[in-house]
Parts: sequence; C-alpha cells; structure tokens
Amino acid sequence: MKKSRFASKIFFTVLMGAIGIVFLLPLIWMASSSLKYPLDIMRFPIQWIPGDPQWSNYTYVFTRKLYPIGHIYLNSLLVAFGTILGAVIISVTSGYAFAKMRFRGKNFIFMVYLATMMIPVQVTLIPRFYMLRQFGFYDNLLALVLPGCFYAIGILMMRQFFMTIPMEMTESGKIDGAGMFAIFLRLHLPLIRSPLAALSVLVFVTSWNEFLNPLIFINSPENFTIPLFLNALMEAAVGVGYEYHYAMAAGVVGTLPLVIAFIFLQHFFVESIATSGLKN
Amino acid sequence: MARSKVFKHEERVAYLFLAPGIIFFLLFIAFPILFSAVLAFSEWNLFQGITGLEFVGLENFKQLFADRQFFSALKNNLLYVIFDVPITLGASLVLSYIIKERVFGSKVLRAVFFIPYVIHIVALAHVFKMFFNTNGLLNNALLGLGLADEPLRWLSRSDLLIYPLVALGVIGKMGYSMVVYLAALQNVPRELYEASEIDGAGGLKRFLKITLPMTSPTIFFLAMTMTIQAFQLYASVKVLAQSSMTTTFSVLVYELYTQGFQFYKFGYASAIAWVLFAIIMIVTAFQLWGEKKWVHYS
Repeated sequence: MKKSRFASKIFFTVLMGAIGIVFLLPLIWMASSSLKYPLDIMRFPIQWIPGDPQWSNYTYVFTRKLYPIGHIYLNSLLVAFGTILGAVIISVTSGYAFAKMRFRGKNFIFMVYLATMMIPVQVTLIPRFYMLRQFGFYDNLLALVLPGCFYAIGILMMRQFFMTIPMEMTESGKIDGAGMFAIFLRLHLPLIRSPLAALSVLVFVTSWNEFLNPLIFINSPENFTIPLFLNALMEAAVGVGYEYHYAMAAGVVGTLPLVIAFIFLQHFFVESIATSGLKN
Repeated sequence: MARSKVFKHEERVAYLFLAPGIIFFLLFIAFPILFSAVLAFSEWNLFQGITGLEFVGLENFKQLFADRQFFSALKNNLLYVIFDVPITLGASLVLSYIIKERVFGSKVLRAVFFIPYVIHIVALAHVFKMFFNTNGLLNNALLGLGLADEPLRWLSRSDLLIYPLVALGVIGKMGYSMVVYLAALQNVPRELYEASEIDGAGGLKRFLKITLPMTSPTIFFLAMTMTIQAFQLYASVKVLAQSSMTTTFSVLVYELYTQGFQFYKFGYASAIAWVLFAIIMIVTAFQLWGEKKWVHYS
C-alpha cells in the first residue's frame, strides 16, 4: 500500500471513528446515566463513569409490579414470532403461486397486492380498530399479529425468489408425474432457506419496532410490548418527578438485549436488510 | 382435453395457495380501505356502534382545510421531511462511500452507525428528550461553554422543536440507510473504477461519474421509502412534544391520533388519513417522475 494511501486511510478511519462516537453517545449516555443520581445526569462536563453507581435504579425497574419486564419481553417476542409465522405462510404460498403457477386473474391480483404497498397503514387503522374490537381482540396481542401477516414486501420477495428457480425443475417434476403440491413440497420448498431467513428478520424488526399499533390496541400493562413499556416507564419517570435515573435504567433494560443480539447476529441482520433494499 | 384438465388442476391448486393471502387481504386491507373511505365522508363516534354513523359528505374535508391546527401539523411535517430525508440520505452516501474504501475496520464502523437504529425509537426519543430538555444536558453544556446566555427551550417552542426532531430522525435512520447503500456500493463493478484510474480521474470525479449513476436505483429506493416514512412520523413527536405544556406542535399522524382516539372524531380522523395518503401519492409520483430523468438502470 502506498504511503499516502495508508495515511489517508488512517485519517478517514479516525474521522469516521469520531463521527461514530457521536452515534454511540445516546447509548453510552443512557447506560452511564442509568447508574447515577438524577441531578448528576444533566451535569456538564459529563462524568462518563459514575463514581457511585446506583444499581438500585435497576432494582426499581425490575420490581415495577405494574410493568413486569419479563412478561413484556415475552409479549414482544410472541407477537414477533406469531407475525413471522403468519407472514411466512402467506408470503411463501402467495409468492409461489405468482411465480410458478398459471391461473386466471394472476396479473390482476398481483397488481392489487402491489397497490396496497402504496397505502399508508394509517388509512386502515381506524376500521381495523373497530373490527378487531368487535371480534373481541381489543387488548389482545393477536390484534398486533393478524394484520401484520399480510406482508406485501414478503410476497414480493418470495415471488422474486421462486422466479429465479428455472422452469426445468418444475418440468422434470411434472414428467415424473408429480402433482403441483408435491412439486412444491419436495422440489421447491427446501430451497428457500436463505430468502426465508431474510424475510423473517425483516418481519421481526418491523414487528418489534411497532409503536402506534400497540399503543392503540393494547391497554393493560401486562399486555404491553417493549415500546409501550419504554414509553410508559420513561414518560412516568421524567414527567412526574424528574426521575431521569429510572428512565435511563428502563431504557437500558428495554434495549440492551436487542443491542447484544444485534452485535452477535450482525451479519444476519445486515445481510437481510441490505438485500431487501437491493431487490428493488 | 388433457391439456385443459391439467390447467384446471393447476388453477385450482393455485387458488388454494392464494387463499390464505386473499383472506387476510380482504379482511385487513380491502375491507378496511373501503370502510375508511366511507368514514372520511362521515361523522362517527365508534363507541356508539355502527348506528351512530352519520353521512356528512365533504364536511370533514371542509373543516380540515379551515383548521389552523391541521395546517400547522402539515407545515411541520413538510418541514421535517425536507430536512430529514436529504440530510440522512446525503450523509449516508458520503459516509458509506468513505467506509467502503478508505478505512480500516469497516464492519465495526458499520455496526456502530447501525446501533441507534437497533435502539428502539421510543428509547432514543426519550434520551433526546432528556438531552434537549430546558434544564437538560445540551443547555448545561451550552451555558458551561459560554455559547448561550440562557437555556433554550428546545422542546417547548414550536420553532425550535424541529431541530431535536430532525436530529433524532437522522441519527435513528442513518444506520439503516448506510447498510442498504453499502450493499449497493459492493455491486458497482470494479472494472469501472480501474478503467477510470487509468484515465487519471480523481476521487471526486469517480464518485460523481461512476458511483452515483451506478447506485442511483438504490438511492432512489432509499429516497422514496424514507420520504414515505417521514410523512408517517409519529413516535418521535409523541415523545418529544406531548408533555410539553406550551407547544401545540403536531404532525399529520399525530393529528389523526388526537382527533380519533382522544376526541373520538373517527370520521374526521379518517379524512386526515386520506389526506395523508393523497400527499404521499403526490410526492411519490413526483419522485417517480424524477426517477425517469435521473436514475440509471443498466
């Protein structure tokens, strides 16, 4: 490597590192503040490592009977996995039909599905609220799972993928006398591991990040998902008594597991998101 | 005939495969859309049941266009989009390009920038709320460094709120945008760069003449999706503005939520939703027109 090239690389690395630290600051400040007294949090210059760590802040967060953190984590996970299950079933079956089968109305239905991607979710929010409430799903986690199962992007992804499988495979299956269903099960299905993983990650992230939906459909704290928990606890802490320390501790508890999971599964996350952007 | 029999069989299986999708589509998309369209022209308190629905024609829209609060929300939303998307996109492009070629530890850096995206927007927003609070860290820093004489009321003044809001949006989304763009950068064929080096083109020229055109489809994709999301801004505003006593800062979806779920004016709220839809359509159409002009597909 030429000397100037090397020097330039070092320069940019340091520069990016500095900018990167700005991006890490919210997380670091949150973690550091979670162990302080409220007044110390806002102090400038910032004391990054608290001299007298208040681990009791965390005890406070964990003992909030009104917001059982373990149960709430479970809720978020259940909703995410439920949505993934539904979305995968619908995306794979619909995508496969669009890619590999011939039938009347194929283009029409596909166009309609695509058109729905244009419609912001807020348009259907109120009718969905009324409908699910009438069906008795208010304050029920299923209200968060069911609508999410129709994931147009997923159908698109699966269709694209199945279209890349050459027709020869289907033809040879037909020659062997297999019916469409058998062809699907034995020949095509085993191949979708990779796009399926990408789809699952996307659905998981979408579901996990939902805020407006859970806010509207869920009422009781024991049915909260993580975003609702974070909002409730952080809002209560700050609004009532300037209890910033509890708010920060709640923030850490709510977000740390995902950060850790991300650090270990980075490759997974990043690949899925990157390819979903490229497919377009 | 054997041929049409096979076709019929295939068609039947196809419909079987499509069934789950179609059912969910009709239930959770098609029917709600139609219902919502009816609601936009009605007055309805949903808690009084379906009988309380009263058809009022264009009344909701007339009210909407005379509503100062709504226009303020619309203005704020537009302002946000105009700042948030270009800054996020522009910064992502530049930073991604630098990370791609010119640094050590690109994977680590990529993860670092992605972290705010992984922290939930609600948590991030609350951290920003504390940071920008009138007696919060930023003001203390500004006072301590002598850059300000008195604390700025970032969160309580409608004219200042846009700054923390945009900062939150940029930092929260940049990681995602960078990850997508880095993947696009990978796909630019090396030969193009090598050929240009032979021709003696400098770094900036290479960026403008090769990188930008070759990655324009992805740039366009990012611009479109981020714009659509920016118009649907909600969580950030709810956290930053809601408990502040002196500001009535709002954005479109926040108005929708307030009118519908606080004032129970579900017809009016539906009208807001459709206006939101119309705005997004117009902006997207404009971007698609731009795509024809600027995006290069090989």
